[in-house]
Amino acid sequence: MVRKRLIIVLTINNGVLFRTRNFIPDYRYTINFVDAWSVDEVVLLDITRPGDGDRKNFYEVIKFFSKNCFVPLTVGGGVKSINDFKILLGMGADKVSINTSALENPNIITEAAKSFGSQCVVVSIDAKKNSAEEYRVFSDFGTKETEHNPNDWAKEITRLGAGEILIQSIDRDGMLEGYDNELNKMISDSVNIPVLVCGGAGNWQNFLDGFTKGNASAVCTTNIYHFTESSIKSAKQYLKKANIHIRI
Amino acid sequence: MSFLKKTDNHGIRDIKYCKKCLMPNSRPRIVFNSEGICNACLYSEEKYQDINWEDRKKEFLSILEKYKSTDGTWDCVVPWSGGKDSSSIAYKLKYEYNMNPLLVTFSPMMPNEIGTHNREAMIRAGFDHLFFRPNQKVHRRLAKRFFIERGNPKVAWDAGVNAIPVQVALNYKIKLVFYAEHGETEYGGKVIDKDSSKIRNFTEVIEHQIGDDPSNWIDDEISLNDLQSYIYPALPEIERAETRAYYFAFFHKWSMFENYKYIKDKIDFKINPQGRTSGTFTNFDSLDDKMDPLYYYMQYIKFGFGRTIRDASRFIQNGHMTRAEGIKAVKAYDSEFPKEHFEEVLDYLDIKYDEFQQIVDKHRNPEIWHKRDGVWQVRFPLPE
Amino acid sequence: MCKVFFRRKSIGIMVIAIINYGLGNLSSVAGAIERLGYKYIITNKKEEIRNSDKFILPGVGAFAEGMQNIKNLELDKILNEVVLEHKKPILGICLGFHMMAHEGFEFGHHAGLGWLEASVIKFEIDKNLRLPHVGWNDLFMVRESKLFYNIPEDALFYYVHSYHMKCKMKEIVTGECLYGERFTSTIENNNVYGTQFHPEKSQKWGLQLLRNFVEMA
Repeated sequence: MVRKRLIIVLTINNGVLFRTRNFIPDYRYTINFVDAWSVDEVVLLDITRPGDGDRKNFYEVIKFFSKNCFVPLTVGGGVKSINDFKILLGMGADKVSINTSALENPNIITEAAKSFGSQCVVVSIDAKKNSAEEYRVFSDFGTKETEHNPNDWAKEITRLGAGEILIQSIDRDGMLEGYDNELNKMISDSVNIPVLVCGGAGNWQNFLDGFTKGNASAVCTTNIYHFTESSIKSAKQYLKKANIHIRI
Repeated sequence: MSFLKKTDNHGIRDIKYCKKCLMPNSRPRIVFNSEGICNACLYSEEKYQDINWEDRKKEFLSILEKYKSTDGTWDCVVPWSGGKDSSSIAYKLKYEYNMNPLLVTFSPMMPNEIGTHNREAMIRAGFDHLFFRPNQKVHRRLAKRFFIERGNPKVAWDAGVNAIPVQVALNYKIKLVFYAEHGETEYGGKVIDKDSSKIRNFTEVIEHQIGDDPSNWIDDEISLNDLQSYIYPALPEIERAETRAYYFAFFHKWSMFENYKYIKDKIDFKINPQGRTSGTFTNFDSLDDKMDPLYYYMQYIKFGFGRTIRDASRFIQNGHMTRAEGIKAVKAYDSEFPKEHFEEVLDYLDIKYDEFQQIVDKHRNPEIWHKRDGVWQVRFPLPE
Repeated sequence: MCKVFFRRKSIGIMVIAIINYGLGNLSSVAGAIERLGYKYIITNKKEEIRNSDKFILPGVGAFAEGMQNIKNLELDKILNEVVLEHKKPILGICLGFHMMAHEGFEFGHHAGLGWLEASVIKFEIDKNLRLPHVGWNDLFMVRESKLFYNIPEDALFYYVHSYHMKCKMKEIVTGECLYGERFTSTIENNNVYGTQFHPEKSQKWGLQLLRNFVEMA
């Protein structure tokens, strides 16, 4: 049967690898110590704010990874049109992730699925509880509350043709306190497409909980220190010992 | 092994130096204002002008009052290296504030004679001391791993320095822990909220210094049993015990130079017999670990500032040196190779010389370095 | 043009052509071939295809659109020539693999290239099975294949698809996988090879498989 996945998510700000905390770019890393052969997939997200910097810098990063990285590459951030899909797929992405554009124009999901296949289309959902303690989907780097409840939105995008969902907890991002598994399980249980969970992973127990409590198909981490051969091996051994069917 | 090479053009920016001190913008998390002044300099101005030290002292006294021991038990833990900073605060806590400190040392990776001497001198001045040395099989393995992966051999040591004093505080039911200073505030970096300069926020330490949960360091040869020295107690447990970690520097005007002057007056505090520590012009700072010269050298390789820039910036901020003098010192010493105890350090890390060179070069930040005619050169040296 | 043809032949450099029909992650396949140390061309031009020695038909996307593009570029004609007449080796990957079948059922009923007696159908709906099938999974080697040389039994490959190939002739199925049901993972039919998974995205063993294709006699 298909294995559970451990995925590295790299947030890139104007071509530079950055750490984020609650979605705000915190500080920069240099890429030169990133080195991992055992990771299952890589996600590159462009978190450059509109107007800041040059999109070409992000393209450089994509080309760099696609040339050297022989695992599946998902690319997202600022994707607005089918043409953007074409460009990114042409540059080496295997899958493209959309977020705010899907909220603004849900048809883009169907269009993209028709043109490139559902398996190329990852829809990313950023969510957190609002002041009334209800989960809501947020757009624009997690800053604008929408009226969507993540559960319903997940079902809708699945219906429209999404291949996978990437669910991110805004509150947990960068906090190293574990995933929001209440949110994760809610999304995972409401759809029948793979769900990737992200936001808050600090240690290997958090990964395990993402699978067992959050029902994830894949767990994601944005912590750069997890993106080394030693860390990935260590994490996977831990998960294997806990009976998670994962690729070693 | 690495499937990623460095390239020259990932959003590379120009390196700039603080207009007041000498810190470059490549120091992680440092913030420059619109006039090009770093947050450490702004803080040091604030330190001498805007902060009401009287108020802060009052606050400090009220904290002490609340926790001062009345039954002879230790009432505060001082994470202590034996250096001028931790020794001066320990001395003040005991002999000026009448607290009953327990000094807790997480052993330097490679202790040297000066460190050992200075610690003994302090103990002779009347202090109780717990010295903890972690499993060296594990410590060396982690030192090597992180030197290779991150260009920092002291990652695990950092974790231990944080974890052990708090583990001790919990075990001995001591509610106060006094650290020296908050690096981000004093030397440039990110201050998350106003309390960050006063109370030690451990999540911040994980995020900024250690980077990862130490329990993740299990591998083929290291099990969870081997990692106890590095694991910080669970935050709920600390809250239940009402243990709090404060920065001494928040309540007192902080100057490493003043600290040195203070402590050498009180105990037989030895300084670097060589006259000056390699990589800098000072002779009284960070003396107790043979690993330190390499640690600071890697800071230079990765972030473009070595010990000299670090020390000179502090001196400038505290009015002990002019910027011009600082620049002179930097040109002379900042890029110095860590030749002190080099063979021993290589042995400790279990690395051969050519491997060492490769690792160093792998960590050269492309913003700081480029290769010209086969030689590594700094792209933006400090302007005169 | 003839000069180029003779020179190429006399030096003995094998030309691997990666077929560009507008769909699919060409740069990943190209990157993999380059990583193996072999030269390649990315093309949809008749003459270049005719003069190449081996072919890779990659693909990410939908069957209907893929076949439409192939027809628009008249690639079906030239590929039939080199594959069926000249019997040059071709490796189809994922969508490229699917298109080698007679028919596909994604977004309607469409004709494929017809080199394999097979249909491309969707996985059975199962509440315990999420679709698409995405991730690392097994390759059960059921028959010998030149593609498997030096690849261990427990090697995993990366799959990402909702449709799979059902072959009428079992003999051409060399590898299978399990996702709810057992399905065809690899085929070999004389000079026609195909993989459901993406070898260019399957790291060490994927690269080995590509090497096997490129280096086979």
